[in-house]
Amino acid sequence: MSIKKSPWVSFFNAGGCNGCTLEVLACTNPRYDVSRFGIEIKASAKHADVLVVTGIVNKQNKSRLLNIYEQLAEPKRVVAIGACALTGGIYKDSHAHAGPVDKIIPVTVFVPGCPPRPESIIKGILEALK
Amino acid sequence: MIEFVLAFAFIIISIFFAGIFRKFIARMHNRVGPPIIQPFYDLIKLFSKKTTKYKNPIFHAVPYASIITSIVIIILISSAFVGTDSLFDFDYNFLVLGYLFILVDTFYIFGAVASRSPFAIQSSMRELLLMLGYELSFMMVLSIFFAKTGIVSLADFDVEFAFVQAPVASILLVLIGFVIVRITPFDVVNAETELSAGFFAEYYGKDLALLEIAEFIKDLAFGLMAGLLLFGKVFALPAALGFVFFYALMQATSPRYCTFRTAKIFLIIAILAFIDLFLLV
Ligand code: SF4
Repeated sequence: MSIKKSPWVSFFNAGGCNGCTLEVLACTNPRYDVSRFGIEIKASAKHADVLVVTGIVNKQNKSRLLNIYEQLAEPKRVVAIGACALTGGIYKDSHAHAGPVDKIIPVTVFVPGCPPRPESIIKGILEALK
Repeated sequence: MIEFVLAFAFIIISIFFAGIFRKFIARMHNRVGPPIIQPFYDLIKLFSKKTTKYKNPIFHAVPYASIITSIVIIILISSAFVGTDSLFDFDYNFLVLGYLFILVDTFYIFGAVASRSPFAIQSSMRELLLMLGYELSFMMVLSIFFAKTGIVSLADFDVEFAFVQAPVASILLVLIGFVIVRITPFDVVNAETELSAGFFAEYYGKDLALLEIAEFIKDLAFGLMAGLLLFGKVFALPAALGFVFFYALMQATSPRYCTFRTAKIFLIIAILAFIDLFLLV
C-alpha cells in the first residue's frame, strides 16, 4: 500500500542507443510530470523502490546490474524498458550481449517499444506497484 | 509544558511545509506536482521498508542523534513563542540555538564518514569547508540582532520588524539560510545531480525517514527563527511560509555555484558580519 503512494525510482542504463533513457527522463518534464503520482527519480539505488532498466545488458555490466539490484531494499520491483532490455533488440546478435534482463534479475513489468513512449513507461511503473 | 505541544505542532507543520515547498517548485516549473501530503506518504513508506543492520554503530546512531537535536531546536524556538515563563527561557539561548543548528550538520558528517560512501565523504568535505565560512557568520549575525535590540533571550525578543534596525544582518541571515536549508545557488553540500544524495547516499528505510524528518524540522526551525528575528513573533509563521516561497523560487530558477565560489562568498559574508558586529561595539 505505502509503496503505491510514493514509488521512488532509480534507473540503470545498461547500454543501447540511449533512446530509452531519454524517454525515461522525459517522464519528469512538465508535459508528463510523474511527480504527481509521487514518483521521484533517485540517484542512489538504496533509496529506490523501483529499478528501471534500459538498454542492452552486456557481459561487462551484468555484475553491476546485479550489484545495484541487491542494493534496493525490500519490497522492490524491476521494470525493463525497451526492446534492448527485453530481448536484445537490434543488438541481439552482438558478442557482448549477456541476455535479456529477466535472465539476470527478476523483472516485474516489461515495457516493449524502441523506444517506448513516456506514457507507456509511466503505465509500466504504476502497473509494477500493483 | 505548552512549548512541547507547540513543538509537536511545529513538527507536523514542518512536514506540510516540505510538501508545500515541492508544490511551489512544481508550479514554478509549470507542473502539477505531488500532493501537499506527499512527504507523509514518503515517510510512511520509508518506515515500512526492511532495514538491515550495517556493522558500524555510529552509522545507525546518527539518525537518532540528529532527530533528537532537531527536536531540541524546535522546542527552543517554541519557547520563544511561549514567553518568559517557559522552561527553556535562559539568557543567551540564541547562541545555544546557533550551535545546535551546526551540531545537526556535524552529526551528518559523522554518519557520512561512517558509511564510507565516496559521495557522502565528498559531501562532508564540502560541508567542512563551508562551515568555516557560515558557522562563524551565523553566530555573529544572531549576536547582531540581540546586541542591537539589547535583548539576551529568545523569549524576550518582542521587537517587531527588527530588520529595519539591522538591515545588513538581515540580508546576511537570509544568505546563510541558503546553506542551512540547502538551496541553490549554495547547495553544494548535497548537490543532488553530482553527489547522488550526499550525506544520505547510504541511508535507507527507517534511518532515512528519521534523517528526512530531522531535515524538515531544521528547515522550519530556521524559517521560524529568521521570521522571528526579522518580522517579530506575530509574523514568524507567515514569514516562514514566505521563506518557503522565496527559497522555492531560488531553487527553481538559479544554477548551482561551485564549491570554491560558495566558500569565497561565505568568506565575504563572514567579513561583512564581523564589520557589522564591530561597528556596534
Ligand atoms: S530499445 Fe531502441 S531506443 Fe531503446 S536503447 Fe534499444 S535501440 Fe535504443
